[in-house]
Amino acid sequence: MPEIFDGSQLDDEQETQSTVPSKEEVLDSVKKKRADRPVKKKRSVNEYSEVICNLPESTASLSSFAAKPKRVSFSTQAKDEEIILLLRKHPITQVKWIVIALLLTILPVFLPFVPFLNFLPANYEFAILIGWYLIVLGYSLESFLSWYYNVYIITDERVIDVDFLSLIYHDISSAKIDNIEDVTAATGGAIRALFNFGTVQIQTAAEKNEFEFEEVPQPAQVTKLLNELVLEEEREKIEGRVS
Amino acid sequence: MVFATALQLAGDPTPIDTLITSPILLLFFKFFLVALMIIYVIFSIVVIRQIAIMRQTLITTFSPVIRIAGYIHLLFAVLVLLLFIVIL
Repeated sequence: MPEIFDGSQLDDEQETQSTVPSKEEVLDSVKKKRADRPVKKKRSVNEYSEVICNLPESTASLSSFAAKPKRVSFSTQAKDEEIILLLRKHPITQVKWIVIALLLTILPVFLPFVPFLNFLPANYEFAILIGWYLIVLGYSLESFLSWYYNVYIITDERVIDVDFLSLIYHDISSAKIDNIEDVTAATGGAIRALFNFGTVQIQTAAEKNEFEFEEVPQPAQVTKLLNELVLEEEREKIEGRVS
Repeated sequence: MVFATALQLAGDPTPIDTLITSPILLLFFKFFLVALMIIYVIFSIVVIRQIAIMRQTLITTFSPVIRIAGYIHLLFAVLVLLLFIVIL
C-alpha cells in the first residue's frame, strides 16, 4: 500500500499539526473576542431625560411624586433595574376620607344632645363609644394603606402598576418600555387644573394593553418622561447597547 | 300611648324602658357586641397580613412605621374585646 494511505506511519509532529481546530479552541477564541470587544453601557437617566435631571432625588417617605426615590424597591425589581419615578394619587384626592374620619371622630361630642343611647346603662354607652373610635381608627388605617401602597412605578426598563384592590386581592401589572405605543395625559376640571393632577393613559403592545395612572401629580411631566424613555430604548436598539 | 306618657310625666319608667333595660335583653346585647368585637379582631389580623404582603411588594423606609401601626391597631382591638367582656 502506498505510504500516504498508511495512517500508522504518521509521526507525532504531524499529528499535532492538525489544521482543524477543536471545539474547545473555537469556543475559547470566541470568548476572547467578546471580552476584548468594548461594551457600550446603558446611559444614566440623567443623561437623556430632561425631566429627571431637573428633579432632585426624593427622600420624602409620603411623597406622591418621587423622582429617583432613595431606599425604595419592589418585589419584582431586577438587579440592575433602577426606579426612576414613583407615583401615587395626589394627596388632595385623600381629603374626602380624612374629612369623614374627622367628622366621625367629633360626632360623639354631639350625641348627648340627641337622645339616641339614653336607654342603655352607662357602661354600655362607654363600650359603644370605645368601639366607635376603634372603627374610625380601622377606617383611617385602611384608607391610608390604600393610598400608600397603590403606586405606579416607572423604571428604566418597565412601567409597573401596583393595585391593592381590597384586603385580600392585589394586582401587579407591568409592561416594558419597548412595548409602549402611546402615552396620553388628561387633566379635566377646576380642582385638577388648580392642583395639577390628572390621569396618564399608556397604550402598550403587552398582554395588558392599557395602563392608567389615575390622579397622579404633574401628568404632563410623567408623559414627557415616558416619551423620553421610549426614545432612549429605541436608541439603545439602534446602537446595539447592552442593557 | 297616653298611659305611657302619663307614666313618663309621673317620673315612673315606661314599659318600653323596662323592656330595654331588662337583664335578658342586656345580656343579648352584650353577646352581640362581644361577637362584633371578635369579628373585628379577626379583621385586624387580616390587616396585619395585608400589611405584610404590601411590605413585601413595595419596600420603603416608612414600612416599619406602618407595620407598628398595624400591630397597635390589633392590640387596641384585643383590649377593647377584653373591655367588652369585663365591663358589660
